[in-house]
Amino acid sequence: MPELQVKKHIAYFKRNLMMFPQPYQEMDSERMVLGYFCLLGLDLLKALEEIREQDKIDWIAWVRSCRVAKRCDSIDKDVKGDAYYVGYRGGPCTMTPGNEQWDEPMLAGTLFAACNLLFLGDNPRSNTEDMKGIERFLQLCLCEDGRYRSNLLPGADEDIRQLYMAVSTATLLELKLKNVEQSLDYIKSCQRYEGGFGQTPGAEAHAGATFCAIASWKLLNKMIPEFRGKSLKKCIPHYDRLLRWLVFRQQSDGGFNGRTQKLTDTCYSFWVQATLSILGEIHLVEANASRNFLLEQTQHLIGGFSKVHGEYPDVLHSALGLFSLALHDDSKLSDVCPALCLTARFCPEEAK
Amino acid sequence: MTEILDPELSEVLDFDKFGFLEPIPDNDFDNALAKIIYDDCYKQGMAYFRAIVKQEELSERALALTSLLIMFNPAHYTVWSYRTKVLLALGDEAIQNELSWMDQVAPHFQKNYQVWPHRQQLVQRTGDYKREIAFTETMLQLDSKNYHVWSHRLWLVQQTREFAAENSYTQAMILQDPYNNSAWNHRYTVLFELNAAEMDEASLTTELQYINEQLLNFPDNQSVWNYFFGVMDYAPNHNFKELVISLEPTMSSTNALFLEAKAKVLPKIEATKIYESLANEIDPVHACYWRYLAKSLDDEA
Repeated sequence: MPELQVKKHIAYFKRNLMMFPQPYQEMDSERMVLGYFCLLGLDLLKALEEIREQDKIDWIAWVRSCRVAKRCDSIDKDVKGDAYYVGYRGGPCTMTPGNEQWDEPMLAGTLFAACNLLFLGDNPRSNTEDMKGIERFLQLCLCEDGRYRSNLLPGADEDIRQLYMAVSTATLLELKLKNVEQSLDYIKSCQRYEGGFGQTPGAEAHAGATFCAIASWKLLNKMIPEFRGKSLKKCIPHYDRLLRWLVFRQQSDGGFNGRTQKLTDTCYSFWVQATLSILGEIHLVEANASRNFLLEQTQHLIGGFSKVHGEYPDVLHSALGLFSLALHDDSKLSDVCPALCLTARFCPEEAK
Repeated sequence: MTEILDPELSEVLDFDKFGFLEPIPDNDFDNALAKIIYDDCYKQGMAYFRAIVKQEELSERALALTSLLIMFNPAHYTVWSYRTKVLLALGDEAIQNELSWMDQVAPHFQKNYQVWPHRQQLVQRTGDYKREIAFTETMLQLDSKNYHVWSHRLWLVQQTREFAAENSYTQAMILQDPYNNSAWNHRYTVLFELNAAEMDEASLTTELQYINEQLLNFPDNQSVWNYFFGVMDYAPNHNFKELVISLEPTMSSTNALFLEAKAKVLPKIEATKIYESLANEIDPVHACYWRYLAKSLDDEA
């Protein structure tokens, strides 16, 4: 019976937190996310308290130093006068001293800054003016059709992933979103004939996009008073087709793929099973086969999990591999909240 | 900055031609979260990038510097954004060169998110959608299922409204690899969604024949089966049960996909038997699901 190598994984995340090796250079503008995967990983392994107090203090300061506040003329002014929108950078490499127009907050940076502050023992909601500022930032990122853009620079990504991050941020920080019904319409427009959801309307059904769709749907329902008591399953058109598509992501090796007739990859164990968990249908997959795939194929000798067997581990697949195992109640792992992709203890009740 | 300038960087920055720059080092914390080991050249390059951005210099060297930086870090969206602005400022010839350069380095950017909105902005300026469609075909020869590329192609088709070409292109891609789900998805989007107005009874019959042919040749092809079920949404005049049963002579008795379709059209007792054999023998990986379907039939009664 393969075993979960708890100590190795803890050491793996700690090593990376000390210093990420050079191949991570292409994640330089997403250091906030890299931090999130490591802290999430450690919390899943019940090892957050092993981080030194001074590191927690320093890292909280670092996260907060990624805050950006900018004047916004287009939104309703505060009683005080000028309105600001607030958010967080993905990392300091996007700072442009002396020409601030390029230095914009990022949706992903904002969400994962909030998560990281929670992990490190800080309160992301401590500044009420900032909460209003983040609310304004989300409003500015909202597109006409209900989707969101990743930031306010030209050329930003606009798709269901950004929608999920906006909804997640609003849920975690208890903020109000505008045009919620429109966002629900956008999600619906991303559903494909295969049952799963694509990243944008018309794009191929994809497990990552499907997670974003269903998690957002669940969280958005909570924001509409008339929908709060509704069963999520009953809201989704072609529910049986969605279920079929999700279940068929599991392949004969026990792992999951992300699209019809593609290869298995650790992270899809998460995207698919988290979605099924949100729908209350996780009992429809072969849990043992999934576990064996993760522990035997992609759990790595040096700690962490890789994308596929034989490759080096990375922090994304490591965190999501562990999360996949946690979805099936592993006593070595913390309780989780799939809709917010966080350990349960940091999540509001309605997200669980 | 007391470090010796990397020679490649030195060439790009050409102080004699473009003037001297005061590099702006990063001021990251000593004990930062998620520190990364950087290439010296990338680190120096970023210091000069900050200097260039500070004076909003939209020159050839600014372009060259961003080229260097995106080679080290293809996901640096600030660098991409700035690069787009530089190109739009330098004008049409620079944009054409950019598109040619990207064709050459395309393999490097296959997994990249930033290159697509960048190209969208440029193509909106040049109006040369044809060239862009051809570019997607080049990229799809490298990786026929590249999600970004198919999405980009869809966006292009939504601009040009040239749907006939998509019919033949998807057929060609399906011929190349019938198991390419991305090709099937693109076909569905164009024929049944974007260009739904032209999907008349004759076209639908043709399409169902095409599906039939595909199922005969590749009966285990999930993509076709999924496509078939999707097309039936638009074919109320066609009898699903008849179509499925007509396939029986050519289907193996252990073809899970065919059996699943059959279970949908047969009465409860036969359907339940099929689900049981799928769960126990034919497709045990999805046993829980097959048993769930059997139970749902039971609950219905």
